[in-house]
Amino acid sequence: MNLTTFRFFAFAILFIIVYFVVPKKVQWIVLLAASMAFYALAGVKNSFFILITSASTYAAARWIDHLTVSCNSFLKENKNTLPREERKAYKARSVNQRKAILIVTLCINFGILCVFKYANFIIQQVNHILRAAGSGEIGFLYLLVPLGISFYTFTSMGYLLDVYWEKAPAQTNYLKMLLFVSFFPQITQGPISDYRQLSGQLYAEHPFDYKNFSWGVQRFLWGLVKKLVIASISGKYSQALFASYPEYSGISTFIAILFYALQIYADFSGYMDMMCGLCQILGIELAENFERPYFSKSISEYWRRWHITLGAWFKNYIYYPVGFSRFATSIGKKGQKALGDKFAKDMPATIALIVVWFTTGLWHGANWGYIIWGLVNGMFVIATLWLEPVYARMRQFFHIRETSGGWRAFQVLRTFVLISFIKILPEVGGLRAGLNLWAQVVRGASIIPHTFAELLPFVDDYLNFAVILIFTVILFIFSLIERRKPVREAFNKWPMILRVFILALFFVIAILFGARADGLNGAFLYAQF
Amino acid sequence: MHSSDSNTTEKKGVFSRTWVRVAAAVILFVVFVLAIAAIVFRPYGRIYSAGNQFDLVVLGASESMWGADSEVLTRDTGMNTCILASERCDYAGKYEMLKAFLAKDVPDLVILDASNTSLVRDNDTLKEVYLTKVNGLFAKIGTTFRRFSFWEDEYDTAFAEVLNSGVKSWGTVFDGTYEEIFRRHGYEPQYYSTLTEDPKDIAAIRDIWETDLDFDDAAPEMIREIIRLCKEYGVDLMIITFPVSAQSNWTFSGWDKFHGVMTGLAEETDVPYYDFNLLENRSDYYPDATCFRDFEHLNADGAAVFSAMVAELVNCRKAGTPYPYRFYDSYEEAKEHSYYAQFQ
Repeated sequence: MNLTTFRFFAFAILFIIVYFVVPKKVQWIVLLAASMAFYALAGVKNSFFILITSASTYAAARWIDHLTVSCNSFLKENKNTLPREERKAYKARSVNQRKAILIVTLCINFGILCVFKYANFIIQQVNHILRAAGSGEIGFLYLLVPLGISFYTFTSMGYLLDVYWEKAPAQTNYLKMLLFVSFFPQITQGPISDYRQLSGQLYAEHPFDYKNFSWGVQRFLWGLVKKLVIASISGKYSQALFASYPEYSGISTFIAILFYALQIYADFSGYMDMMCGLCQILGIELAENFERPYFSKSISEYWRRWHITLGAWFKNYIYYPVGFSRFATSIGKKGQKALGDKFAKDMPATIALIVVWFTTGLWHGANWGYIIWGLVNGMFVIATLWLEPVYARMRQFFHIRETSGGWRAFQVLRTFVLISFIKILPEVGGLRAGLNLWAQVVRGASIIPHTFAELLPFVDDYLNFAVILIFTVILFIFSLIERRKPVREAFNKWPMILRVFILALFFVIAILFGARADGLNGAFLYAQF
Repeated sequence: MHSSDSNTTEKKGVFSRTWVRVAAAVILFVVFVLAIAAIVFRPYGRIYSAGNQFDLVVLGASESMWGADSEVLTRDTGMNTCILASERCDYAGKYEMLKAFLAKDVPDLVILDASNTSLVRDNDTLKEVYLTKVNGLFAKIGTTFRRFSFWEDEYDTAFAEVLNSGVKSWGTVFDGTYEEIFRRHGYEPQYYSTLTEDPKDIAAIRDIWETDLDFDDAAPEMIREIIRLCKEYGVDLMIITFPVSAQSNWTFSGWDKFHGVMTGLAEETDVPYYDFNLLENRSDYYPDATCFRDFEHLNADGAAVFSAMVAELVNCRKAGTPYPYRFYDSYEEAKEHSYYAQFQ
């Protein structure tokens, strides 16, 4: 169900009413029913896979938890009666059993994800080899990827790992587990929730709260404006230029790249605002995915502020396990003598970062464009890690004060431009097209636009352009103010009639000026991941 | 007891106050949305023109969007032609479009596409007269959510661009798309697909639409308004009914009534009127199988053939020579023609 349709609005309104009308004890059942209905509307057949994931995760978590509890109680009971060696052996057996259950479950679920998302990519690579060897090719699989498979697989596997590491308790009610995995506001584009943060809220009783309602509605409508106005119109502009970029000037291409950065931010954060708003009405606080990312001073900082929950997932479940693994730390230690303490400290982190960024690229899409995109991001993060002392010396040499406004503004601008350029690598029809677009910024520098129409050839309607400009400025100002104090707190001090009028105006503007994101039929960009 | 009562009262008070605030906020929001929507409603207000660049304007709905070829008309008449058409446009909408157009550009000739569906269509575009009706108000607000845009330098391919694909028409929210309606009834969608020649399918289409031509009395009034507007600007006017598929002619009843209304109007106002559904041997020129994209609309080949015939009509009218093609006098007569017989 497309979230920008009246069909979804009707669904959401009906759901909210039912949620607050039913006895509070069964509110979580309403959430589950709505989530399953939402999922089934995207294709009943695909519900099968989410049921497999939730059931296997539930069973594995219960089993692991049972083994952990029995092992701990056995050890406790026999602390004084059994010799240490025997207790150690018992514990090792239990750990091995738990590890086996974990590995099998991870394989099942990541296996399903791989078949749907990566099988054709792997077949493509195998076919390259087979062609080179002169033998026949393997046929591609024609599979419809289940809605939100990347998101719900990561959410449930994160939960399983937490149970395995004894960070979270195992859920004893399968339906509650199913709700956590399938919770519809997060199923299509995240956030990838932490079980400990979300589950309690999902199963708790939530009385109706006026403040939550009004704040939630505000946030939902602001998200709608971001998506329909800013993202859709800027997307139209950038796609129009990307479709025939060799004809245009370098500066026009550069501006289109910035429009793409604006589109993807407004699109993704718009979705998050809509869903966080909806959850706030219910009294549920979803994890935030953005913290003004385009105000970051470095790429590392940017990735701590963009798609925060995905970053946190990779940090908790890949970066730390790999970085602290025997393999990574042993490499660091081996080079310590010859290359110093910094090598010993940074090398394990570097190995972990390479794995993290390779997987991040792969998670976003099964093609080389995304993999290279991930590695380019990783390269910048790793360079920051290793070159920090060099940067510090340079700043000292040029007498740059780190706290000065000018230096910070330069850092923000530099990071924004860099990120914008990296973003388009996989997004314009493959790696080659992305690189060509980069080249066009330089190649097209000789074409000097003389008129507004030549500068912004993709602007077909000045009214739309004015609207997107106004809302982009509003977004920018909000972000600036947000740094010091929450904008919504100030907004909510205004008289109700004025607030409602502004929201109604935003709504009508979103409907009237909301443009079609070509080729996506109004869908959200991140839903494809 | 006392404490419990006081708690209950307090709870009730809070409860009612909260819900009153919610209800007030929701009502205010809806009122503001409707008010803003009504204020900004200008479906055909945004028509651009560099000024006096067109000699011939084809004014219509989807029939002329698909069925008129501006290049053929320009080539064959020597008149710079544009198609001023919008999907699902009724006569009030056509009036508004023409009014906005004439304010910028006064052509020599306007061809009004008098499609039969415009006479029976619910009012997608409305004039003030309809606003006295509640459904008119809803329709007006609904229309606000579908913005029409004509691009300045693409007059010849001007079409209704429903910009917001996410927010589809209100009707489809409840009834589904045409395709979904067809499927619900157990048929494969025919409306946008290739025409069927199977009488069973045709009967199914007829059952699903559940409607025969039932005229909106306000429509002839709006045609008179369009005629008056053209006279005011000194613009020559011709009314033409674009051909729909022969199947469509057969499927729905009421065509003779439609023809009667149109010929009556033409006589009353002295405006030439031609119904190309009544062209003799029509299947020799635009057969259903090759010249139609769907039940009611010509395809590109059909548009080229038909536009050439219209251009010839315009040239004959300018030269004062008789038009070489012949028309039947009524649908009854046309239906006696062998082509229609195959569907009976």
